[in-house]
Amino acid sequence: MPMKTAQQYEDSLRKLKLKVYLQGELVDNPVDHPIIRPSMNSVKMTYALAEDPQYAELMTATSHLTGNKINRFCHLHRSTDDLVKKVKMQRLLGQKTAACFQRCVGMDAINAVDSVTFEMDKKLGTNYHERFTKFLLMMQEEDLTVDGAMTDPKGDRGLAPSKQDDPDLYVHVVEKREDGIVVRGAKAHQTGAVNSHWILIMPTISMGKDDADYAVSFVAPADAEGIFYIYGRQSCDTRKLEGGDIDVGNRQFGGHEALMVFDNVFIPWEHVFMCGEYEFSGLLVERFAGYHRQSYGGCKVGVGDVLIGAAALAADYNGAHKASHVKDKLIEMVHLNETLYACGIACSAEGYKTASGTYLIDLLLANVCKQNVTRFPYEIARLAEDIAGGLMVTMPSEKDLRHPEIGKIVEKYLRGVAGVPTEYRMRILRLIENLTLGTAAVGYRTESMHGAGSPQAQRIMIARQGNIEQKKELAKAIAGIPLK
Amino acid sequence: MTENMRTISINFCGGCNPRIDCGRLAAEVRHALDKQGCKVLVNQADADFVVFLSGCTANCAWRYGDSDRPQAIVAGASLDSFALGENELAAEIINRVSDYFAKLENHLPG
Repeated sequence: MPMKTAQQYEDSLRKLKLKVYLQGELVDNPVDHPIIRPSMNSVKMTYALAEDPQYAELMTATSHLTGNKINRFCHLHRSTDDLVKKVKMQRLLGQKTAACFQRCVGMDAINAVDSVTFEMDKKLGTNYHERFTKFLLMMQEEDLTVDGAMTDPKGDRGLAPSKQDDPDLYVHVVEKREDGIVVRGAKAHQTGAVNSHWILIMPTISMGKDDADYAVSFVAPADAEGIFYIYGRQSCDTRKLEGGDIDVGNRQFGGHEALMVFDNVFIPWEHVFMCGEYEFSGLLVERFAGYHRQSYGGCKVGVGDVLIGAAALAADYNGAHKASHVKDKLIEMVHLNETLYACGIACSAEGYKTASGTYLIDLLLANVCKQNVTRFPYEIARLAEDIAGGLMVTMPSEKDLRHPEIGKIVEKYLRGVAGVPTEYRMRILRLIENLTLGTAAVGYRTESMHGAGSPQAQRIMIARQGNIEQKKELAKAIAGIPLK
Repeated sequence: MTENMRTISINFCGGCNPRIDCGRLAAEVRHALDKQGCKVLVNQADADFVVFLSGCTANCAWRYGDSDRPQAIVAGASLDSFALGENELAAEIINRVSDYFAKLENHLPG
């Protein structure tokens, strides 16, 4: 089956019977809802670019299962080149959408589940990998968007899943049947959930024997009986209901997160990839998180490219582009952005083959990449706000600009350099606002902080992989201290 | 179109962070070669002549490409490793392709 076109993707979403609540109401038609629609457009771009020969080298790959050309988001990395191309594809999509395009979590999930189920089967004699491969084949052939879902609500962070007051604070198995399992619980912050055909659930932390019911991984159709979604609010989201196209900052694209709830959902065995093998939950978390920390070295960089461009345009429109400190700030923004990219490329180039044949990134470098992502976008955003000036947050609305009487006043007093329409200046400032504190700031700022694991999670991995003892030996050798 | 029509393929890098406008360059090259009666393809390794078109010096179109056909390699503002202005690239590529086929027709070494 050929890859889906962008239109076919949109049409396929319309056939789903998703149960989505948004601001207290059940949404009748998520695809066309003005708050949701921009996020759908971002995912749709992952299909559109794959159709364009100019982007095919990055956007598509050859399936190791069928030899067919597939969308890279459905591909298992078969080489370090694949890992590098993944990062480049993400940068490209960040540039084209200036938003989170959401499809990475599924790609990172399938790559992690592939290698972990393979190794689990070898050790325990289970047959999860075969089941997973059948699902992957369907995903590739039907060019599906799959939401990789890991993060549980977690309740009291000081307690293990099985010790929580409310047992549903982590997704868990409530019943095992001959034909499958029944699960209950929720996954929080689910990026792209409402734009996905299927969901791939994974445990969220390393687990012990008492938590065996929580060590569960499976796939389900996004509209399976018992699954529903509560759509996450974003700063300035209701501007999308106002009908204009300036004040939203990014009219066409966006991202979204949702709380995904499992109300006693039946999962047939053929869709279960882990059920009680708690000793493999940590490995799955580590690998998924590693891939996702690599991802941020691509997607955030692409969005950063747009923000840097917007800041440079704001300087042009303000007439400040020749000021040396403005030039220097733009240089600093590029430096920070490219440092993130360098980390994304480095952890990919240093990747290695796992037992299943799927390539994994260098985990130390991927965690360094994400640790930088928890910081640099904030500094890039700060510099963008510095260059933009206060008007970014004080200027009148689009309705004022369009007003038959005061529009002329807005036009007159908000003008920057001659030759640039006031509207252009307003548009670029609203884009910067959107990225730094509007709807897109969810993806560019706070997701950079907490997505794929909060900063401390990376520091734990860096501590594990940093090899301090070997560094001590190096120092001893140079300093003339006897070695061990 | 005849069966003997020369085929030239423009093979793209993927375009993650281009420093030249690959889309515009490809369109210029395609337009000129169309007028010369060539058939211009995209991303084909077995064309009579392949133009690898990468947006930057990472040169992904060539690096990940696999073709032993006569070729020209654009990597950012360069052609076959020689630096050029972006606005010179289209003409140089067309010259390179034209020269190759002219030599072929005159049985001269390529």
